[in-house]
Amino acid sequence: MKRFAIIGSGCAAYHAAKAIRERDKEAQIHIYSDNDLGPYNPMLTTYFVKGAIPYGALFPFGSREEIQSRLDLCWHPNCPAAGLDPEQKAIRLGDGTEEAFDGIVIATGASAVMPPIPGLDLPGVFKMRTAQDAVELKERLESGTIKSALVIGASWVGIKVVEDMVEHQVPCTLVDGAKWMFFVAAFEETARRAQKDLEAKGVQVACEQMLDHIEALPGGGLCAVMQNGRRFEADTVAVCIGVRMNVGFLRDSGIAMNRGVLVDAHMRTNYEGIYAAGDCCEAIDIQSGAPRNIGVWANAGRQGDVAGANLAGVPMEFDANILANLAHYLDYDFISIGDVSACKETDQVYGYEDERYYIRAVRSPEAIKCINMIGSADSNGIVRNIFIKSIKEPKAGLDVPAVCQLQRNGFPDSFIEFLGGISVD
Amino acid sequence: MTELEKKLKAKIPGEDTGIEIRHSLCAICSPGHHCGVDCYVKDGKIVRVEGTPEHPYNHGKLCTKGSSLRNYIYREDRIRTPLRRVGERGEGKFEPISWDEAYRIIAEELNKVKERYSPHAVTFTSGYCKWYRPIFHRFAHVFGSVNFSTDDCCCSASKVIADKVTAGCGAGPDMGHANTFLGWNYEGYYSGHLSVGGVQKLKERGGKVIIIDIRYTPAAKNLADIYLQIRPGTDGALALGMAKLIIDNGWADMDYVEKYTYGFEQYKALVDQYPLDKVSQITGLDPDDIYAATKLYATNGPACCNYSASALVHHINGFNSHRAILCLSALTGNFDRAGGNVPNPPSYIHKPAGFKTKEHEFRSERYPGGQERIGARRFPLWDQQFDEFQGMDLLRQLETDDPYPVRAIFGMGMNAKMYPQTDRLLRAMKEKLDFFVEVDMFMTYTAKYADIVLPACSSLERSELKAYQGGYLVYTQPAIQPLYESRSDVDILCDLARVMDLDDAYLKAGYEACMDHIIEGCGLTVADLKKNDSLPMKVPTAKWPAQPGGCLKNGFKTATGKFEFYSTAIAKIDPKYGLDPLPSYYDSLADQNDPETKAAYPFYLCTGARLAHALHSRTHETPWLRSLCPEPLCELNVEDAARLGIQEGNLVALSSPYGEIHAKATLTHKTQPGVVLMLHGYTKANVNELIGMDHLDPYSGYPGFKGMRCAVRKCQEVQ
Amino acid sequence: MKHIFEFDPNKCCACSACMIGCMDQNDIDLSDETCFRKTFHNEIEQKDGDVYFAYLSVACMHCADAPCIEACPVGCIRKDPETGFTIYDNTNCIGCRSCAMACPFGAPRYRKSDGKMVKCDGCNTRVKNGLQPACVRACSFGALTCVTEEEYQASGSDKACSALIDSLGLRRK
Repeated sequence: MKRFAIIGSGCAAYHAAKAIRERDKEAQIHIYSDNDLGPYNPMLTTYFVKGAIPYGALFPFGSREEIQSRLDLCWHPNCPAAGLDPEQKAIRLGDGTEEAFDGIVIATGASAVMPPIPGLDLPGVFKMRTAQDAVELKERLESGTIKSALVIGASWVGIKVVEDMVEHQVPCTLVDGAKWMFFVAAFEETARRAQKDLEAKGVQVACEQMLDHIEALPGGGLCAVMQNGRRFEADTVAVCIGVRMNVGFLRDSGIAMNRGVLVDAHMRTNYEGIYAAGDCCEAIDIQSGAPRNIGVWANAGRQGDVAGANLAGVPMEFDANILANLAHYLDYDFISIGDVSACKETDQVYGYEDERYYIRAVRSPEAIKCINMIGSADSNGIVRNIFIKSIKEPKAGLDVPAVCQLQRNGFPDSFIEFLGGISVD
Repeated sequence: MTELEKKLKAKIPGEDTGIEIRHSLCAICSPGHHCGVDCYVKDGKIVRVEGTPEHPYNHGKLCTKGSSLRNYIYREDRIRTPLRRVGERGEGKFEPISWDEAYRIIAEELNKVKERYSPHAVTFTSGYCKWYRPIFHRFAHVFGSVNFSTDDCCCSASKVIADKVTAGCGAGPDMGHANTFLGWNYEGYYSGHLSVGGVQKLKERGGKVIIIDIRYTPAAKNLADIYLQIRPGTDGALALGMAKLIIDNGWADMDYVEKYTYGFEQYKALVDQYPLDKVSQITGLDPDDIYAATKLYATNGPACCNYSASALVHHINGFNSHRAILCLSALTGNFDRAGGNVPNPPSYIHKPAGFKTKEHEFRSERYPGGQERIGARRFPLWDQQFDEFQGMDLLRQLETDDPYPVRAIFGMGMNAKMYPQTDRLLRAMKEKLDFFVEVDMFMTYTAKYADIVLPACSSLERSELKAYQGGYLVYTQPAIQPLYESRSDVDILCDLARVMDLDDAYLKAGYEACMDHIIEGCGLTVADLKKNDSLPMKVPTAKWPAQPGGCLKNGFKTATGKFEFYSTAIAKIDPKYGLDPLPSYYDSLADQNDPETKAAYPFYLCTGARLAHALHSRTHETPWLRSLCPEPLCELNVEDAARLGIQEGNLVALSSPYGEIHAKATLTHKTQPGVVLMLHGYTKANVNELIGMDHLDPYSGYPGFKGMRCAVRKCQEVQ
Repeated sequence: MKHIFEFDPNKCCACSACMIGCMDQNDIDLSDETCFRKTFHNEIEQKDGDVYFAYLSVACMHCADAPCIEACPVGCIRKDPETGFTIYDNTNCIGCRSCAMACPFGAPRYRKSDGKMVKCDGCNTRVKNGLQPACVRACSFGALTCVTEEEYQASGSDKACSALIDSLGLRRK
């Protein structure tokens, strides 16, 4: 009987456990978690806040107890790994004890970043990542005590916090340190457009604002002071600057790392028998061929599956890793597919706009690089798939069903041409 | 959700869900079809409809329209009660009245016209549905009028008459034994869904398929070995050219010709005028393609041909075109032979079922005579060969009172949109009629002109006798009670016969008694049929399938007893009408080829090419079907559109010397440049407004719905 | 018993009976939504000047390895172990469109009236009760069929919709 360990208890961890169990009925599977909850989805927190789902729905696979019994797991709540000995495939726990296994999946996820900036510990300043964060904000919003809000960070979480505020009729300002919104995903033109549309919904937006500190105002309320001296006052400040991978315990263990754990297409680390999955790892981005963490829920699940299957002895690859970011807020949707930073001055730029769609996209003669679309939610999967296919088979062109769908959904033929034209076998 | 809730949501029939399957039939389209349906009924409401798997006709299949049957019968525009007009004719303002009141008014008004003018001043006009027609036809005659007309005046009957004056009867393709299927205008996918399987089977056993169509249809794509994209309206010339090729190459079955045909020498002289290069020029087809198709048809063993009900005969040269095509079957020895085209006369209301009924006698035995029918002078061949008046002459007679006035119309499903220049007809009706009663399921454009409107129920809400291929009869039971106050068409007629005290025991006895009379001797009675759960029963006297050789053995039902290349029936018509006993070819736009008209209206307008979601105007207001194509569309060839600066979705004006309509353009590669297609039956874009009331085939009186000059231009959004 | 949808484009004519069957079965409210299945009759101009006349009927392919399942952050979507169809319970759906972003075929659809995702469930309950999916039931031409896995294997067909995802190179190897 084999013994496996999974470090972490999020989406990737769950999928890894499930993938092992589906292939190995006998194995012992140990889960080491830094909390006592079941796997929850950080993306759902803002939806819980706005009342779209009950608390239980934050846990899409069920409670810890349910999962534990369904998959027959040895779950160690509040028992995080403090270190790892990859040679021995051993985990070191907080009390110093070590436990060796036949295989390990590192799935420790990521945490919201709270940089060392003065004032972040003031009452009224909060982050949004954990279930507890969500519960607290929801209580405050529903008690009606929030009269104005400042959201720092036009990230995917930040924009959803903005939505929560707007839907509770709380005047809201969004500030971001970058030159424009959604900086890591949006072209400047797209971002300007999205900013204008957001402002039309009553949200103040200010970019290029680096937070210096937050101070309490004498008459109550908070003031976020920027490095450029600009001051933003509100009684509530949400800090949504970003996330950091939970890999501190691996430092100097010998596991190869960049910002996160480096893995190959099988989700294997540089050590046999040790895999990583989810927000703590960097898999190969097929667009650049370089490792990159693409921290979305679906990737975490897939990667967990792949890691678990390989551990259980069934070879499997994770090979469709591309950047794709979808922001959906206030009846508005923006998607970016591909790497905006890969675009060069000399590349071909495609632009299109009508009542329904806004498209801006860039390609070289060889490959599509990045596509920004607004209003395209129904077709995002089709376009994303075309993008993936274009990387794998650059000359293939679009298949007939994809062309039919895009035409029906009102995309112009010029866009179809841009994406690679039509291919009929 | 509990298991039961899931099953209820999924409409699973069973005792636990209380959903019961009741058999009925779909009567949306022509009675040549009418598929068996399973109605899923819960608490007296239909919750879902499927084709009946054990039904011997459709074997569980339904077309797009039939699949929408639930949506169709629960439409918002169903007429709920008898109505009396309170506004102007056409305004659509009515008040509900009782059935008794309605019957009283109808009896009174019809009798008034009868007394003041003559019984013939009352015309009886039927559109869809057609199931009640024997009753209605007899009703007209018993009332005393010679004037009964149906959509046969512009649907299928031209072909039937052409068959009759050539071969004495019609004949269907014997797909099971053919090596080649000549699909002349065949588009089964959108117009006869059950026929496609037969063509597929023929292909699977190595048979060849030729499709001749102006449009590259799904049938052309999925089924054709040879596809000829013919210039519209030139089919007759192609058929004559093919005949010449067949004779010249020695592919004709001269034994057959000598034994069984009449007038070959005259026919040969006619086809000799159609050498390949000339035919290629007329039809726009490549001579090699014509040759290849002809050779395949004539030399690949038994070959059958599709004779479409309307596609050809909706050209003003269509009657002769059909005859010319029919002649190919005799020329190659395929008529009344296995694998060719085999006669199979209808048993009851257009359905061949291998047994005899007294339908014809029931309809005609009380013909009153005493007056010529409407259109008799203008279309003598029609009048001689068909027992209805030619409705395409109704508008002229209404307007001119020549030869006598028409002052009342008893309409059942009458549809003015079926007639060229619809609005002119409605205007004449509005001005000239003393009384107009209309029976329909829906408050139609035409019904709004009626003085009294009666609500008919759907096929699912009534009992109906129907024959089916294979030798079957069915008598359905209602799957649900009639909606609102609607009643079965035949009950309305029989009720009226009693209220008006018409001199006819059958009509007064009611529908069942009439049907028992009609099927008497077939070996089954209505009482027998009622015991079979609304499913068809095999008729003991039925002979099925139809065996070929009857005409060859016993003689054709023509004056000469032969297949007539030269029609003796047409030869008897007064020469002043200029009808040629031979199937000669003339231009389908012959009446509009003067230089001015040609220049002003350069496009060839072809209306009514079938689309899957529509049947005439009948389904346009059915929401599910309308959602498949929400806007009336005018189909333009991409090159024409580019030339005119028209893009997909642009509003275009379509005009002829008779009017102008507006519709959205859709661009296609499926038709040739110069051809414009438009589906008919839309109220807001009624393309029949563009067809001239006198643009008619002199042989049949049929309008040139599929061949009319028109102009197209882009126009601003005006609607 | 696992079931597999098959589609043969050479038998399809885009008559849309499948769509009507779907509307009838699922009581689609057209004022607010469109049905789960879509048909296409597109004329596709190719670079060489030829035109391809496409007739298609498309809905959820019920992919053997459906990417929408893992994409759903709330876990609404799953495989029915008996039929193999990709089914869902959208009680907790947050309308985030993640499933739509994951689906290469554009199958999941957002319904405005309740802000939730809906899609074809293969008429799962019908199939479990021995009936055909409504769209298949409505197809007169044999273009759209639904067979058991055993029947599919035995037929030697290569037209399984669920395998289409393989051809897209998206599936894990």
